[in-house]
Amino acid sequence: MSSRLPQEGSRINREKTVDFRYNGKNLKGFYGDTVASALLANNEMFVARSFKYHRPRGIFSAGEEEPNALMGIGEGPFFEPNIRATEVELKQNMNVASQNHWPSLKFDFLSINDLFSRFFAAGFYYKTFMWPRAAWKYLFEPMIRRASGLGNSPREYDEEHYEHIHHHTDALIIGGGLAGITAAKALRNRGLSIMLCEKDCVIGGRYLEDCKSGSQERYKKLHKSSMEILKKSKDISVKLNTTVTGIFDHGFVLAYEENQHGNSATKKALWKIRAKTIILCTGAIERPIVFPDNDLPGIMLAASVRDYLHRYGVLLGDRLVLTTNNDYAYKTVIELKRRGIDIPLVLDARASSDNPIIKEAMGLGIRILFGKCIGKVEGKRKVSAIGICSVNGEGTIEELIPCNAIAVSGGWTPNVNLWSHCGGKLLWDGEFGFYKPDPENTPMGREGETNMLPLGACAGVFSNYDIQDQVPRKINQLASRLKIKSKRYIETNVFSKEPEKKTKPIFVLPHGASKDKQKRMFIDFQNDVKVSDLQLAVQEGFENVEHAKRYTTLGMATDQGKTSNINGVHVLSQSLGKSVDKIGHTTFRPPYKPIPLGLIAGQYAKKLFKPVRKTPIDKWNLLNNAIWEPVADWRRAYAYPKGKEDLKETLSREVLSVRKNVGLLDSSTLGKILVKGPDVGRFLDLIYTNMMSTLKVGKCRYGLMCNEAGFVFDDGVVARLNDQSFLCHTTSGGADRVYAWLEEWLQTEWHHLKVFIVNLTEQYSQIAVAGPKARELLQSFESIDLSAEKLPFMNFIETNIDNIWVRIYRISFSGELSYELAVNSNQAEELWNKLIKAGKKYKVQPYGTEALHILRAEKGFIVVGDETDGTVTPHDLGMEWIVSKKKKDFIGKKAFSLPHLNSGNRKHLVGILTLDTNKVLPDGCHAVEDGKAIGHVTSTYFSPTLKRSIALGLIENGRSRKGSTLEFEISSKESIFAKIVDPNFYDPEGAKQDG
Amino acid sequence: MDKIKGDTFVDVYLIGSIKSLNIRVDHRDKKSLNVIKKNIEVKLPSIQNAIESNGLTLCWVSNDEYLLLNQKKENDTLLEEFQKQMNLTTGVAENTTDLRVWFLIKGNRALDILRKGVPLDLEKSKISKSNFLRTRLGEIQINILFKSLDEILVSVLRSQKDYMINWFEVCNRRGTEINFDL
Repeated sequence: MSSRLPQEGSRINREKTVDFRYNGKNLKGFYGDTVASALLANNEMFVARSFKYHRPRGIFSAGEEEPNALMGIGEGPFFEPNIRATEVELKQNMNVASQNHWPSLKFDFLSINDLFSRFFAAGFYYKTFMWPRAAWKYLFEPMIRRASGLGNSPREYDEEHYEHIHHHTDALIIGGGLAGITAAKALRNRGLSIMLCEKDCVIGGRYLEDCKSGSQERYKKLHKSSMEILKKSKDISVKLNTTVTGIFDHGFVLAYEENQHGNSATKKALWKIRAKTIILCTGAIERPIVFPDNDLPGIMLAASVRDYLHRYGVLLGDRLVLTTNNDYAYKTVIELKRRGIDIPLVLDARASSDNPIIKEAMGLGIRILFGKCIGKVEGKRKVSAIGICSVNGEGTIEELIPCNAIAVSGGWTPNVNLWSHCGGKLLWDGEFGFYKPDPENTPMGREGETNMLPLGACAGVFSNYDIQDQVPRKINQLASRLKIKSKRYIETNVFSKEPEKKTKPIFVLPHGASKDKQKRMFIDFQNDVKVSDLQLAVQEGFENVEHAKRYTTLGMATDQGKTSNINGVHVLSQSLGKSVDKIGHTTFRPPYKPIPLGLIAGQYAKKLFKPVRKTPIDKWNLLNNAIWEPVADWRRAYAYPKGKEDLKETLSREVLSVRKNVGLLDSSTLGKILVKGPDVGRFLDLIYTNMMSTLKVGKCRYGLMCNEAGFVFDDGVVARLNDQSFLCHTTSGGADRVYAWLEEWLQTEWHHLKVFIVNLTEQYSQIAVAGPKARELLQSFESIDLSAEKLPFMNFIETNIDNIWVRIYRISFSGELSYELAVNSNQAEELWNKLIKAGKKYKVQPYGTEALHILRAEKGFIVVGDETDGTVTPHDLGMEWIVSKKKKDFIGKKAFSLPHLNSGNRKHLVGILTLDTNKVLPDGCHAVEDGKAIGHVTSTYFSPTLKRSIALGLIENGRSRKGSTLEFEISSKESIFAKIVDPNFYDPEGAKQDG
Repeated sequence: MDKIKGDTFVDVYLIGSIKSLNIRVDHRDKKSLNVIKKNIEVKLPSIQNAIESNGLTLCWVSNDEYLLLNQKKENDTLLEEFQKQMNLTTGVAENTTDLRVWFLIKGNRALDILRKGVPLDLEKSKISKSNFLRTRLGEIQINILFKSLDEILVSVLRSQKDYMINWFEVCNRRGTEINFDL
């Protein structure tokens, strides 16, 4: 059984107890515990069910490589599934739940899968469920969907606080182990900014564990002095609990800060780091040896066993067997033995070893068997005994040894994921059996230079002596390469050169394991991939490592194969009879470890999800019950319902108030671009399809812009303010686009023209005052004379209304007498209130965008984006009149002569009147003729003015179809028939616009 | 100035509008440049900088654009005269007072809050007084004027005022400071 020692545990505070719940049970841990250490301390060894076969699983490691102990942690809005228990600090009242079982962890109905595992081999889903056909829909798919997935999705809105933080640094050191610390020390005082990211809550990495073992006073002294240097160095910034999850082009790095160590901060932050140079000190991950029944609870990586002992005072078991192929793993059993733990046996797969550590272990009375391995593991839900066998046989059991824990070590794999993320290549080291960074094929920085330097274990250098020897030298070389003038860094090596701790690359044991055993030898714990699965993949032709990965799901789960990839590649190489370097490896992709989706969103959720733009009259709109419509990034008042009105009634009231009395529209969102300069007329003549240079000062003209292909791009009213200044109005959504368009043409094609552009969209707000009583309303303010003589249609004046400066345009988008009032935005709300107040006498009503659309559709006015879709020309819209025949050139002119823009079957804008006047066509529905779609509806409304449905549409050769009836298909079963007419439904003579 | 409320690690105030002109000018056009120099009595600022004199701040926006800020009421007439003269040249001086709203960030962590949204290098060593940066914060465009490292003016389009207030409320919570651990 696992338990806690009465003393020891460098990371826990035994005076602070932490209460937590695990699967409904109340348990206790200590401040500083991880969830995993607290569970082990409470003898919870069986903590998970495997994904596919629902086999019992225990905690396998002490870090990010953990494949088994995935938990649902937290409650309600703070619940997160699939969290590695080995990485989460225990917190008071934390709720922890195991996953992937029903009804309970111990009695899991789906563990029946394990009994039938022989039928669930790799590729099972691709070969099964073919028959009977109907069963797929009603039985197989629902069943598979219910069983699939790992963990439960959170049901509530995530209330965690996430943030993005930008950071720039000259050098980023990833990893705070011996290599990272030495690199930071060597880089300091060179005029560089240095950032060190360490995923753990303390600096030191595995070397810190070495400091703690035995009487390593020199190590401790070094660590203490290093910490002092890091603290004092102003050029070094250290981030703990921060995992670099991805490295991208040009030194762009993403790091995940999980602030969880009792700081007042409760944030999880995504650091967006731009680093000129990256020093990779990511260390190595211990990998297991694959043996039969190697997935039972009670089996753990050897170094992790030691980590739990040192950090949390937790023992995996009190009778532990080690199976290994290297010298380093002996440290674990030596330390356990020194604490009085029973170590009945070490099984060393090698033939022998002359490293002194072996003698040290023997001297402590530990029995060591060379050339032996585990042939079977007994126990249902945790280890109870192992069977010993010879490494070379097929696994005949020679002796049964009772034990309750197994430490396993198959050597160390350099952590090269980040090196590979942005193009670094890897080399196979056959001597040790791992991939390491290829110094000849490195990732590149923004200037095409090598921007990453791997140091320490991630580069395949494991001994502390070698690391302390090499790192300063390599940093000095780097400084020289970067032409940083500074003193060479020299550090006295405090480590003594020890006899090399050797590893024999042995991956799967016993070598001649029978087929039956191979079906119980797990390579990838998270996806239940066995030796036999990879062999089957090869047998079925999936020989490429990427194909085999996808067929078997090897390395595809949340741990990304951290403990399984190398073993898997070895099995593939054995099955194919090729060396590992010929097999290659799968692609390492970001993120290095899973990150919450909320972290990717950062602070940009809820109110910050979208930068909604509000007009100066927004507050009034809000207080007056406006319902909203998003128009580009703006929120605009769609309508202003009153009392118990339904939407139809509201729209009817708003439209009719404009037709009969007067209405006010907040049209502040219209784009307003000032174009000024001696060449402005020439410039605008090139931009618009119609002539602008002839426009007189004080007058307005409707203008249309096309792109080079001759398609309508934007439209709006242009006003000539003075000889050299024009104010060009654009659509609400098009302001920024048109501004950029004008600048682009000016800066590229027509840079010789003396013209300047200023986007004044938000400087001015605009209020439309429309309706037969509009003039009366405005003239009720004493100072204004707006008679038709004083202000004719398509003219403007500048004046004051109650001491508020306004520019009044006599233009109309509704067909009624209408004025648009431009006002400095800071006074817009004040002016609006004055108009509302003065307008009571005239029954003024505010109207929203939907009423605006109905009013303009009744008049057959187009809206860019409704009647146009990027493929519509002015001619299609029946607006030939706006295309100048006099101008030599303008954008789109050449395209108008192209044959396909002049063909007879182009779609034309037409009016559509349904035969049943109450039936409103759905927006976008198709006109059908002889089973072929010949056009579609672009705008469709019930017109309160005409008391019938009206629509506009683009219909193939539409103008010649006027008077004919077309079928509009609503669904496969229903059609509406409508007559094609002229698009102007209301006041075609335009008499109303003069009042 | 209204202080944005909350349990915060820097003080953020909503200033509202600051009287301002957008100036667009061709650097080859001496007439326009002379109007600026004569009226405002300041040198033209260098790239990403602003020059302040007598309550007027001239900010470099791009190679052919400046932003002139007036924080003294008594300068209003001067500005109107300047605008008139400027508009008689090839260049443009246009009142854009109502186009933006300004915020003031105060405190020794003023840079830190901006680092949560601005992708530029805002390390203290890289920033100096009177830097003027046009950049983005999250998804919106902002202007930043460094009066000092502890006092920073930020402007956004007036339509994004509420969004910016929300941004400050979310990012300026005590406990979410940017900390380094050693």
